[in-house]
This record gives sequence, C-alpha cells and structure tokens, in this order.
Amino acid sequence: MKKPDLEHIVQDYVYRSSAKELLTQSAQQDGSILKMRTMLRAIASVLLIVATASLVWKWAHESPSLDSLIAAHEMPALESSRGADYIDQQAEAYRAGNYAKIIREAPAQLKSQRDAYYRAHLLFKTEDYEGFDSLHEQRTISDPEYKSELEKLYYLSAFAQNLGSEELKRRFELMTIRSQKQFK
Amino acid sequence: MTDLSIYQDLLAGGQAHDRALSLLFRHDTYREGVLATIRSKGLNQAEAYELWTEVVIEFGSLVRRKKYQESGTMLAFLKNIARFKALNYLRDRRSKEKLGLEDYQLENLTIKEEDLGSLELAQIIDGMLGRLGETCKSVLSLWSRGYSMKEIQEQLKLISEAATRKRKHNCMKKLLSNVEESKEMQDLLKLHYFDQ
Repeated sequence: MKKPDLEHIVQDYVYRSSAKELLTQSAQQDGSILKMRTMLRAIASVLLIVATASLVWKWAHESPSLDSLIAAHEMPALESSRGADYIDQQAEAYRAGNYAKIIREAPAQLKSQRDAYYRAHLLFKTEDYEGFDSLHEQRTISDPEYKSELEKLYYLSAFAQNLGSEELKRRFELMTIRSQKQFK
Repeated sequence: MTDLSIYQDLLAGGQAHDRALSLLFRHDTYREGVLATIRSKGLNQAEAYELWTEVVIEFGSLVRRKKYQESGTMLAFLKNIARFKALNYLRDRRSKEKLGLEDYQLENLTIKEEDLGSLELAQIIDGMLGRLGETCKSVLSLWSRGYSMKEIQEQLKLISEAATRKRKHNCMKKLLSNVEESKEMQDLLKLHYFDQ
C-alpha cells in the first residue's frame, strides 16, 4: 500500500469527530422533538378526556335531546339529568295529574334552579302551601323569570293559607315592582 | 431523497453535506435495514444503534475521500460497512476469542479494510482536537465537512477570510505536530496505515 499522506489521514479523523458531533446534535434534536411530541400527545389526551367528560356531563345535565323531550311533553321535569325513562314516567304522571308522585319521586335537593322552580310550582298545584313556602324560603332562586313567578305564588300562598294582612303585606313587599304592579 | 442526491450533497460539502448526513442518519429505510444487519450478527438494539452512527460517519468519510463506488445500492454499501463494524465490535468485545475477520467475506466487496477508520485513532484525535481550543476545533471541524473559508468566517464571526485561512493552517499544523509527537498515535498509524 502506498504510504498515505499523514495530513489526509488526520483530516479524515477530524471529519469523523466533526460528523459524530453533528449526528449527536441531530439525535438530541430528534430526542427533543420526540419529547415534545410525547408531551403534546399527553396534553392532547388530557384535553380529549376533559372534553369527553365535559360532553358527557353536559349531555347528562343539559342534554338538548332531554330538553326537547321535556318540551315535547309540555311538562316540567324534575331532575332532567336522570334520563329519558324517568322523564317519560314523569310525563305520564303529569298528564294523569299525579303531581304528588312527581314530587315524591324527585329528590328533595334539586341542583338546577329550573327543577327547584318546577318542584315549587307542583307543590303549589297540589296545594301543599307549607311545602311550597318552605322550599321558597330555603332555596335561593336568582333566575329573574323563576324568581318573579315564585314571588307571585308565594304571595298567593299566603292568601290560600289565610295568613293575615301583615304576612300578605310582607310578601307583597318581597315582590318585584313589576309583579306588584300586576297585582295592583 | 435518492441515493444520488445524498451522495452528491455529501460530496458537495458545507451545509448540503450536513443536511444530507443528518437525513441519512434519520432515514427509516436505511437505518432499519442496517440495524437489522447488525442485529443479525448477535448485537442488541442499543449496540446496533451505536454502530449505526459509526456506519453513517464511515460512509460520509468514504464519500468525502471518494472511496465510495456506486456499483450497487447505497443500502447494500451501508450494510457492508455495518457487517464490518459489527464483526470488529464483536472481535473487540471478545478479544480473547478467535473471531477473525479473515473468515468473513464482505459481500460485493466494494470497501477495502484499510479504507475503514480505526476507533482508537478517532478517539485520540478527538481528544487532541478538544485540547486545541474551541475556535481551532470549530474551524477544523467545519473545514473537514467541506465548508468554504468564507462560510467558516461568517459562522464563527472571524475577522476575515484570510485570517480564517491562516487560523485553519495554524490549527492543522498544531494538530499534526501533536499527532507526530504522540507515541501512541504513531504506533496506531503504523499498525493501520504504514505497515501494510
């Protein structure tokens, strides 16, 4: 073999050292990209789980299909989150005028304001004025529409129970100005 | 990316070289083919991956020295290098065992053993480069990968092209002088290059 030039040999080894450094950097970059991808995948998975859970939660509580079912039945549904079967049973009881059954089977503590409103409404319908008053006094209803309606019923409940002028006056003053005008 | 484009870019040097070498290193087809060849020699995945880096570097070096012959596919050539590297690795690992390369026939013999580098020499020169200082190391590294003096000057923010050339000359001179003064290096050079 012809004696190779030492400079060329050394240059070749400089190249090898340099190329190794380049590939190490490249592998590290790949590693970082891989780590980043793994992290993004993990974040995406968490987001997906959260999104799925929130969708299920939303479906269970504010499902448009349940809402439309309630609307189709033209009836109030206590605890609409309990599903279509429960609403069907409630609808049947509602049509039969069996309000007491609806109230009895619905839980005492209703999370949604709408459900609490319907419960109060049904209590009034079944002439359970004490139950109505108790619910109205314990439960804070902030929704203006429900609030206004319940305040009127609360006033009428005092009439029905013959609670006297002082109580009537007190309940009248609790009503909104607009509701008061309607009674005047 | 084709065999030809990799070859041409490696030969062109500079940024094209770096891009081609990195692409080759990350290329699934080449990598998986070579890793399978190495594993078939009894090496595990981690060892195979380590040798894959060596194979790519060896290939780059052969192309730069114009020792690569395009007689077959690039993958076949890479596999040839890989077989050699794997057997060398096993021979080092089981140094007491007789597992000589003389029993082994490289398929489609396109590489001469003397054209393939020595790991020991590479390690020593690597150490010497490190001791030259950061600028010297960078200048020589870029130059060896085919960067022009102007590109090196721009990348390392040196004063001028002429100054960069002078710097490279001095660094190389210093490195060569270190190599010549090292007895270990001289012995290895004799063993690998001058005694044949």
